Amino acid sequence: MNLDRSAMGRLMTVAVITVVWVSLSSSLFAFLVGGFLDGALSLLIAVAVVVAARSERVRTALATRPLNPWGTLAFAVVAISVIVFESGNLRFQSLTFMGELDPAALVRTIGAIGSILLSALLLWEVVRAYLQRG
Amino acid sequence: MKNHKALSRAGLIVVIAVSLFVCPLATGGYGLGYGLSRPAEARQIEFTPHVSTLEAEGTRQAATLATVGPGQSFEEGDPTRPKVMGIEDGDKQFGYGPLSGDPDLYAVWVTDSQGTHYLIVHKDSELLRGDVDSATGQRYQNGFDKYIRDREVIVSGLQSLNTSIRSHDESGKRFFNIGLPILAGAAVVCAVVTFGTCAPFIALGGAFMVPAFTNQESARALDDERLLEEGRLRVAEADVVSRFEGNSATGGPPQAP
Repeated sequence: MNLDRSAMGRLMTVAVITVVWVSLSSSLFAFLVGGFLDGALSLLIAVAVVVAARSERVRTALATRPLNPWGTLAFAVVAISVIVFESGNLRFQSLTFMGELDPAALVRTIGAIGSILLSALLLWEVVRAYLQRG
Repeated sequence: MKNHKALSRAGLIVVIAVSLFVCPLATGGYGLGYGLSRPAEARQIEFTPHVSTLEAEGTRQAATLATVGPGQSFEEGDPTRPKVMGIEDGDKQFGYGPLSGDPDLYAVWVTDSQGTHYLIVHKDSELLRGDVDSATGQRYQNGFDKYIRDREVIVSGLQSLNTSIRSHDESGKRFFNIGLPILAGAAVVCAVVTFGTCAPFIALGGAFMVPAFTNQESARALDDERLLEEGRLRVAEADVVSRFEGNSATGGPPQAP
């Protein structure tokens, strides 16, 4: 029983977009609340994830080795973690502070909505990959 | 098989080592460069009175100041509004301060959806300092100044709460941002090796998730507290407006003059 390579490609793509989205929204949030070190760290993580995903070594490994369906379970863990964490960041009543719109809370909420949608897509891809397994 | 066992054991050791570092940070709420006593510090209410100057047009002021007296009121944007020397208490929305030309006169102001409304009072007026008991000569604690100070304490507490919420959110996101790529990387590793080999990487990513969720939980608990405080602020501002409009029904007991 093997994982379909095109399914793995889609899983990788959605997972990378999800991680990059989470990192970038966190980076913007950190910059808005004055955490420049955290902002820079999150930005660096986003760049590192893209570089790692595009690296030849990873591509070769995924193209030549037999793919293990257990991988889909780990992708599901990623998606569920993001959904649970970002649900905790959804607080619409905290969008304003003392009657004024709080930009940091707005970024946190938009980031959370995007992350949840992308994770839902990742979960869907996990289900598709499982159904397509050889 | 032996090789995989050794790798799994090594992974487990890494997870335990990382947990030893990560878990104390989680309970403290802060890490990587932040002092562990910051949450406690943030919860303390620090109150620094504002002494900033109110913006006002000064061109026609010299001519109008001579005619300014207690009981006069002005609206936001009124060019004849007298200049205030400095905000003695409060802020630009709710506060009071002496007039530039005559320190015996004070401007008190409140803000609503129509803008900021100003009223000129004497520095010892009952509206500003509290009603005087005619029998004892003592003042009631129902002056505009008292309500402004009450509001300031709430505002200061709210700002501390907000700082604390943001710090917890930032810490939570920091740990999540480290743990998530590790988990995603583990997912890719899992696809090309056995589950036994990739499981330690999943555990490592999971170890970072623990402080992420702990900090987020603290932030949301403080969020609830903040919402309650915002409710108290609305009540305090209603008291300020009520006193501004000349009502004194909510006054406290008399105090020594």
